[in-house]
Amino acid sequence: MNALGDAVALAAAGLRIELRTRAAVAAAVTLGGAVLFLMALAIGPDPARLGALAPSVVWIALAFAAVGISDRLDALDRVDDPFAGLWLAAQDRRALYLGKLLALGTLLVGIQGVLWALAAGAVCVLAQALVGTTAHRALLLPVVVLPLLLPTLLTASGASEALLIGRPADALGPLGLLAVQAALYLGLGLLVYEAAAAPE
Amino acid sequence: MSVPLAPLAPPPTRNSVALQAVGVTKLYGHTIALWRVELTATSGELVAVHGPNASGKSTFLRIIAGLTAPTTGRVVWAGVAGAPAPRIALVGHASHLYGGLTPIENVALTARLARRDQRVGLELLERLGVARVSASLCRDLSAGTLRRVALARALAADPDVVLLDEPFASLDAAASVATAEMLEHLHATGRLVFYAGHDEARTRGLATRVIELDRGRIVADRRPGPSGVGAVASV
Repeated sequence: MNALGDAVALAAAGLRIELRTRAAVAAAVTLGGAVLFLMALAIGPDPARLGALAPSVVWIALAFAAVGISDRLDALDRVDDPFAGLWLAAQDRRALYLGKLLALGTLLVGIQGVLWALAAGAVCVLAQALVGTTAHRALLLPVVVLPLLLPTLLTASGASEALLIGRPADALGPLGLLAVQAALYLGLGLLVYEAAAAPE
Repeated sequence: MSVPLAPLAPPPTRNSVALQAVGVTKLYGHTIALWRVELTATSGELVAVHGPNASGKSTFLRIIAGLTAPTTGRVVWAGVAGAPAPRIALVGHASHLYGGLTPIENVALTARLARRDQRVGLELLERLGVARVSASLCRDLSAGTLRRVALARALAADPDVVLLDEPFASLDAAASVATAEMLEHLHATGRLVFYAGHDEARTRGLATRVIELDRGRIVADRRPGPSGVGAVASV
């Protein structure tokens, strides 16, 4: 319970900084928008084709937006290394994972839905820890995140498609699968985050 | 301005600890940062780690903190049986502060994670003479002010072990005295304190023990006698 309280305090700090700078949301809109625009251009003007591919295209754009938000939030921990101070002070280091997940999830949920936000957030925060502070982290982050998000992406796309064609009952299966994926990623993150994020 | 020091409310029982560095070596590629460092230190010591640039001071402090793994050797903490692991705080070359938060927000966050009363934040900022900037964003503060806020943030966790890398860098005379007084206070309240620096004259008389590093090796380990803040004030 204490870890959850700590996580809320950490998330509030991250969101407060984002509210003051709006850097993460700006990065997400730019990245997601660019992907959406380029994919629409690639598909062409055929409305039937666009309609069929729309759910996948939107979710790919959202995946890139999630990576963009995740990267910007993680950057906060790398300027002047506040993470080292929190790492040493934290009584329960799972709170560091949960705090980052809550901050990222809160930003994602506004545009992408609860289950996606939880699954994508859990993967992104864990990937940040795995990638660490390597010089090529900006390149590595999407390389690590996107394959991990692929099942979630396909599931979310399936749910969207069912909703778009007016068969909400068909969306229940994918949504259930999405919930399972979110729970799995969250559990995995809580288990391995401390080892993955340990400095050097 | 710093405020006169009244005793901080110490916890009822401070975690008494003993540090043992056993054959600690750190290599960065072919560069030797530390070479077979052996050291023991216990709560109540105020240890100055002196040495020229690239002598291994910062690496040694980070290894003690557990933020950098030694290439070989290890750091062992001993304490009272059954006592929790020592709480360690480090102020390195980085401030370890979020630039987009205010000093009071940064300090309160650390206090919260350490399960300490968050109201201690303002008290620490006052003691270090930086309470007047407590509502400014850290990214807007001067280097000297930031050093003191960073120290306040580290102390908000009520650490048993305090590691400070060049705590007097960028400080003017008054701020140096406030910082030296805080070091004295930390020492007097039974903590194990390490601070690294090049300028021995500036802090002469403060440390109870002086370790000199040169090219990653301990070349001297001495106990200069009674400590005192006056030495800093007179520089």
